[in-house]
Amino acid sequence: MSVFTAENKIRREARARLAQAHWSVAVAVTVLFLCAAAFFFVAASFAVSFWPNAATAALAVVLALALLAMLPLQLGLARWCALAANGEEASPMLLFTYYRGPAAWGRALAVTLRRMLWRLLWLVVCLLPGGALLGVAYQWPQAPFLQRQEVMQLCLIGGWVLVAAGAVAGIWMGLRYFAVSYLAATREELSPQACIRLSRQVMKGHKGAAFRLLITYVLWVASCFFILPLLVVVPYMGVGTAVCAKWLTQLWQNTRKESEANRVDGGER
Amino acid sequence: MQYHPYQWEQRSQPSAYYMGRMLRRQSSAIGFTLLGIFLMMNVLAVILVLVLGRMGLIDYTQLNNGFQGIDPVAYYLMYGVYAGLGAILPVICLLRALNISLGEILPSRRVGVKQGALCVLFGMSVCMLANMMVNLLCANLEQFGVNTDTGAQGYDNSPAAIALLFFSTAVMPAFMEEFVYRGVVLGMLRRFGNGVAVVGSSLLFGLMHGNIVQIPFALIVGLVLAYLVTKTGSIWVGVALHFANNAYACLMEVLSYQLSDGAYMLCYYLVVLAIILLGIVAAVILMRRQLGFFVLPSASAGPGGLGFAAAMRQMVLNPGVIAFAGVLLAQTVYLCVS
Repeated sequence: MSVFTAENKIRREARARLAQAHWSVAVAVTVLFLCAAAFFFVAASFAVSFWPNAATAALAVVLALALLAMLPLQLGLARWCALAANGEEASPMLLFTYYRGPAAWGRALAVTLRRMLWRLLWLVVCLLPGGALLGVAYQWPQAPFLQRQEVMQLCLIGGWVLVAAGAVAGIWMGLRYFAVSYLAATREELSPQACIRLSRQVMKGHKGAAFRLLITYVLWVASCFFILPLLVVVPYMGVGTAVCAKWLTQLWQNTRKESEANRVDGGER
Repeated sequence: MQYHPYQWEQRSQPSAYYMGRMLRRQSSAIGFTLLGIFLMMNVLAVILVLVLGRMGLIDYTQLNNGFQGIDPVAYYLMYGVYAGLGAILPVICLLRALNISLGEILPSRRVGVKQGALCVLFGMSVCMLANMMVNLLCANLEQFGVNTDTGAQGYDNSPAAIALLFFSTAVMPAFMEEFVYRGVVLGMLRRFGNGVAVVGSSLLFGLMHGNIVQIPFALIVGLVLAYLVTKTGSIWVGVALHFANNAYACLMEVLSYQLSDGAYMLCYYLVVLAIILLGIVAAVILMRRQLGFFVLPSASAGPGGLGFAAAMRQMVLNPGVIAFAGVLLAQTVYLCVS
């Protein structure tokens, strides 16, 4: 049996769900999302071209606006993927779900920002030891303890090894927030903080499964070098990760029910 | 009781095997026709250049003027003649050979002006996106030493040349290419499933452009054109969108020569931003008017149970399409390495 049996099943289910939801709709949703991204890309270029003296400020304003507009759209895309993964009717209008009012917009912004910040934080924390070692080696070569050639080499090699290990560890720890988008998109009653907390609980002991799933998409992601495959890869990966998050959430719910039942049984005895 | 040899029965629905063979045969005929168009256009171009040379309309000292030494007005007229004749004649031969009438395959449903305008706006925003995607692709390919420069075309400031530039770049291709790709090719392939028709006709449309920049761009634009024509049932939506896209490119080219750099850039950014924004709004309105606007009917399986993947295999793996793709890809590779 292949190591990736479960992941292959997930991808097969994702393809079936996408066929059910219509590939043309999936591509249309991706096109609309990319159009919105392209709008802000052009706006940022425009800002830099026409206010070269205030380029940083203009760019910051445009990027802030882009963030405010795009993050709810990103959760809208996640919602479309989640509903398609659940086999429910997934209209392309779902992309704009979080623009229906300030409360929905604020929640979407808070969820996506929190998830991004937590991931970034873990990455920074994991990269810190390697980064610090390399920083000392490159920026402070006159330090007395770096005067010996062997120590310097050890610092450089060790620094790069720690950076590589830190990157993997950062991605691994970022997987704690793998189910955040799915939970936020499918369970409207959850607050942003509750989504983060629940995702941590769901992913406990299952980060390997999510990591393996992401590895199976490596070739698809690599094909995006040619840009055009983006139109297919974005919905395919989105629905695949949503299917995985759905399975893991169900698994967590079942485990919790069993443990509660056991506790009740134990109490009765 | 009527006798059926070998217990053969009249079937209301043809089998997948039969449909596969039919698709293969028709795709092969389409491939050879498109190859015929390509060859005929080149042969006609050579003949016309020889005629113009005889008439003394080619200045051999100005071969690098962007018009191969030809007077700009004569160049655009020549282009109009060889592109028009080269595209029409092989298609007429194809329809005659397969005994297909245009009325059967041309999508000619009436579409309201509002619906048509919304479709064109949405299509234009996809064209803008396709432009950006192709720019990114070129930047990626250039990292690996691939030549993505397609060569600059000449520009003449006279009103006659500008009018002919619009005619030969915006008007004529909109009618010719839409007639060939969204009329004949899409129409012939649609009986084997809408999915294979939209993707297949876009692949052929992309390949026809024959260079690394235009192939991916035309592929994306071909997808949106074929989708909108299939969805609305009107070839005029395709003609209008194709015209709008080419007219935009023409207008930008003319403005780049007429305006100062700063004014041109301002104009470019504002137009692109407006088109993308209007396109997104148009898509939302289209979805509100018709909830399943982006659902391509029977996209997954064609008649006779021919699935999309099987249909695409039959559509691509046949002598005609392989020959057409081989020639155009060879031209693309040649342009990249030369």
